[in-house]
Amino acid sequence: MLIAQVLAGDRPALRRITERLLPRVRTTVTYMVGGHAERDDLVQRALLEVLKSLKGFRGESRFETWVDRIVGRTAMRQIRRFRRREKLVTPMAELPESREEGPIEDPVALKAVRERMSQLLTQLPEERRHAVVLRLVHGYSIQEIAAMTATNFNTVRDRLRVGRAELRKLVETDADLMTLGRGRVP
Amino acid sequence: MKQNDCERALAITEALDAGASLPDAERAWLAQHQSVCARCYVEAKVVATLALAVGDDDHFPADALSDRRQVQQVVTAFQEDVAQASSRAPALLAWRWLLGGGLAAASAAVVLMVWAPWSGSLTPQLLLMAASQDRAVFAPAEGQTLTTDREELAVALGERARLLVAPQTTVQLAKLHGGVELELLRGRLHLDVNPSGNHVPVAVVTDDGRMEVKGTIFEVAASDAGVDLRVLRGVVEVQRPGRPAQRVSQQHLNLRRSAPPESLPEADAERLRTMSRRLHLLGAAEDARLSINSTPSGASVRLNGEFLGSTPLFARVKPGVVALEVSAPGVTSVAEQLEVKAGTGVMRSYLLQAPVKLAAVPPADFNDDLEASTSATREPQAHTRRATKPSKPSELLLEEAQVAREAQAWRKAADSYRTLVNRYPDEPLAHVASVSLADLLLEHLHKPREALQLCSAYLNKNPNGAVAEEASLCEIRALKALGRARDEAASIRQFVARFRDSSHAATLRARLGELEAADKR
Repeated sequence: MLIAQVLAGDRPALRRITERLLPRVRTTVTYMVGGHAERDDLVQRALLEVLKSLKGFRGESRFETWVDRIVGRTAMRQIRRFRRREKLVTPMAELPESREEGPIEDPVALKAVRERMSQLLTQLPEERRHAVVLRLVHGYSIQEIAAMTATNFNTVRDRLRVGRAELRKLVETDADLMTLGRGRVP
Repeated sequence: MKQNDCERALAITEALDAGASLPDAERAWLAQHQSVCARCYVEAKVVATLALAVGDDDHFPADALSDRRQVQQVVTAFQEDVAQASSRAPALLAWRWLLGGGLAAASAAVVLMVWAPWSGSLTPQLLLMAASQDRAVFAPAEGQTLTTDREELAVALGERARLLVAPQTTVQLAKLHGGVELELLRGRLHLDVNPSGNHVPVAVVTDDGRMEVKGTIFEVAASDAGVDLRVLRGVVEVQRPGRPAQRVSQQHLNLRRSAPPESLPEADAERLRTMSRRLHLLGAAEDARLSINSTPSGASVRLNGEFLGSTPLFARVKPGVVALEVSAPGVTSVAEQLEVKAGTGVMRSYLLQAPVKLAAVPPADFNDDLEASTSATREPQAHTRRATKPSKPSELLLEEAQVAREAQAWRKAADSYRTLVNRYPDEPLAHVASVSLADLLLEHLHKPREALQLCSAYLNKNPNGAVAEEASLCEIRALKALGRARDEAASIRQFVARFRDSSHAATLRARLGELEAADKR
């Protein structure tokens, strides 16, 4: 209904749908590019792309799935542009200087962990990062990811396997994150 | 913890990823293992933080104001796209939204009639929307009332006339067919009408009389004190009932007072010239869209040195390479060269922060560069620093370096990288920045020795670091620049052995062949 209103030129509906999509798009983009200086621009580009593509949404998949696919595609395209422009730099946001061990549900700790994870994710090669984000962030199955990215099942599975292993290695070598496991067998 | 257990845990996780149906015992084992193994526990825990739960889409919430601005920018850009499409297809009128907000009572009324040689209807193009509020979102159309609050709007009326609507102004696009009729209810309008042909008559009608204007730059302001007409260029003929026609040229006339026109004060003339220069920066129709945001908002945006408006700002500009500068009092301004292409949009968001005095002592070899590039600003920086934050986040320093680098301000970029490296020596970001600095010193500042030191230091500290390949390449290039052929050959050997699949490997092998041949000779 909301989509139909937007397509009919209803401005409040346009605003509502943009407001509703913004958090999800921002989350996806942040996991794709980390704390990149142009993250907000990228979020806007992705949202614009979604809005411009609305008339092509035929309801063949969940709306969120359709949105995630467009956002992922837009983000990957942009990441490649960033890469060409600033190939040496992997920007990172800062973590708090020290963090007491505590429940990860603590909003501050949770935010810090998510930010750190978004930074670590940017160290994965593009295709693997895409697969990992779609699986771990959005919870899509390998079949769904294969359909979304027009890639075969085995390729996605391999990307995910290697991406997960790389991410695991990055997490293991991250002193801040490993403090979460204090008190357990190393 | 046994390594085999962790491998089994990974295998179970991968099987779950692949959608395999596993016995409960396997899942239970995995949960038990994760609860006791630090590595698997942390991995499971942090991976769980990534998952988007229903109703919890916002892992990186922003403040409400910046959310609203972001939504606003997207909505505006989208509407512009639609408006552009509808201007190509006149039947598509669905995207004409009236401005919200009530009209203030008119303190004076001016009807400005522009009889430009347009045939048929005219689709005005919104050119500039600066420091806009939510309600100033629209695609201009006939009958529409434009009410500005703190924002400024610029509208192209066909190709030959441009209108700048000042803040606190209400104007109605009364007629767009067979000419343009604008009704100014309050506030100030600046018009730039270029004649095409011999005469382009423009009529300004008020209760007090009628003014006919020929191709000219002029301004009309309506307030309680009456209607003020200021003409910078061209001629305005004023006709009022019971009075002879009066010609106004480079003069100021108040229509309510009976005093004769006065010569235009230089301050007014300069203001009109500035307005015209601003309008001439703007484009229309197929030109490029520029959307500039900043935190904090309200920063001045300059294009090619000319003030364009305040952030958040939306503008259509003429295509080409433009010098963009965003500045505000007490913060470090940012400058960037942008290439804006016809029919495309460029969006930028800047985080503006107070400048920081360099804290660490740079290596001796860098002193000359530093003095040259920072001495002019050192004192103000120190002053600002006392009044604001004591230090700058590393990310911002990196951003500064990148902005300077894009603007080809190599020394400024090097300063920012160096500050980052010195101030946050233990941060991964600083390690990466040291390689960027080395690359810049080698490529643009002709300092291969320093570049070599930085690369070697990075590789010693981070042999498997994220930019080890780039650091190795930089080291090889630095050795080449220093003429140390044997060391260069040794570095190339290490590189090709280690980064076998690198896109540079083939070139480097060829170079190695040359070096070895030369060595034999």
